[in-house]
Amino acid sequence: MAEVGRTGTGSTHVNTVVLHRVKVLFQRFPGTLGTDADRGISGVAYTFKVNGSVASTGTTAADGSATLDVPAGSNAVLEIFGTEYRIRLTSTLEAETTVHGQQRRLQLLGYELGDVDGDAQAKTENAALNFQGDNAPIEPTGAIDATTQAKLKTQFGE
Amino acid sequence: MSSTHRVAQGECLSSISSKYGFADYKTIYNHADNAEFKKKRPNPNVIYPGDVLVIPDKDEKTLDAPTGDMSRFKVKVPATKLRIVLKDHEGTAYGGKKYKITVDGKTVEGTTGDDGLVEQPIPPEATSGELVLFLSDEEGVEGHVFPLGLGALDPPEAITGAQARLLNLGYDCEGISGTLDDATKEALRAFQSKNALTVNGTLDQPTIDKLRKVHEE
Repeated sequence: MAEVGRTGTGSTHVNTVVLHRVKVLFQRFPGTLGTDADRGISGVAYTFKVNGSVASTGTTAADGSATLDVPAGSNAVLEIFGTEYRIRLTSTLEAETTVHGQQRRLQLLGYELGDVDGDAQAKTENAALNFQGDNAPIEPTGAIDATTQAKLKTQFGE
Repeated sequence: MSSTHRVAQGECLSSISSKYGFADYKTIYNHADNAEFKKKRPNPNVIYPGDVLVIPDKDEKTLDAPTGDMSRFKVKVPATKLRIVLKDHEGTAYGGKKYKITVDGKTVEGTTGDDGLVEQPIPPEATSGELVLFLSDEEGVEGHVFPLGLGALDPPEAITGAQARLLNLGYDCEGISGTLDDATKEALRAFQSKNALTVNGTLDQPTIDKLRKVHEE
């Protein structure tokens, strides 16, 4: 629901509505060697729905990406691979130096860790181990040190 | 005798004027007894439930209408409009895009102006509607659907008003709860950071002013 003000004659007030552009990448084995173009699952048809209405359709690009224009607070769903992915805009991606930022990146790169809760427990350590194992020559310790943080940032793209 | 009116959710000056039989909302808004109100609410169409307005007496006019003749009286009624500017993530207007607006069961189609503006006259009493924006003309595309709460926008100093603006501007505060919850604080932080304000997650005066400016000007 977009709440808007009415405008009377002579008034120039407007209501501004912004759609954010989100790039969702579908990739095989995100940790392996190569570039996005080598890993992307391309040419897969998708349907993007906003509040139940088809907002756009397309096929994934060479890097496996679908580019979507998402309004905040709406029910946005990406239908692909017979799966419905609910897209929600989060305000910010925290820095890779914070546990929140590390967990979010690991999760979105496909490493299972449960909830992004800022608490680096066994599950997060396990995800970090897998990530490090996929990114040799980083030593798999499960501890997210500066080298791992930098790698998380480059692999995730930001 | 003048009377007073307590504003309810969804009302604006245009709808209140229409209710009391005034053709132009300015008759009420510019009335001397409402000077204080006018100062508090610089946008006559963004007022807050609970606000109290003085409803002035109506002018009486005597018109001669000969019997047996059909007499026509024309009253000039200023229109109430819906004005929405549509922008992308970089703040670039969606110009020349097809749209469809449905209010009170009536659908109007149009194309956004170069400035991304959608402008349509609406009945002042209408409280809900739907805007559909077409960003792509591929087959099977039904458009981005925005359910509209007409006149529902509260002033930005109210948490509900701030949340509505954050949502419209693409900062997801997870709905209009009216409380400064974690999602709202996070959305405020993002808005503040984007607009070079002090990032504190609170609804301070610079943030209120900026929300109004970015959303309404």
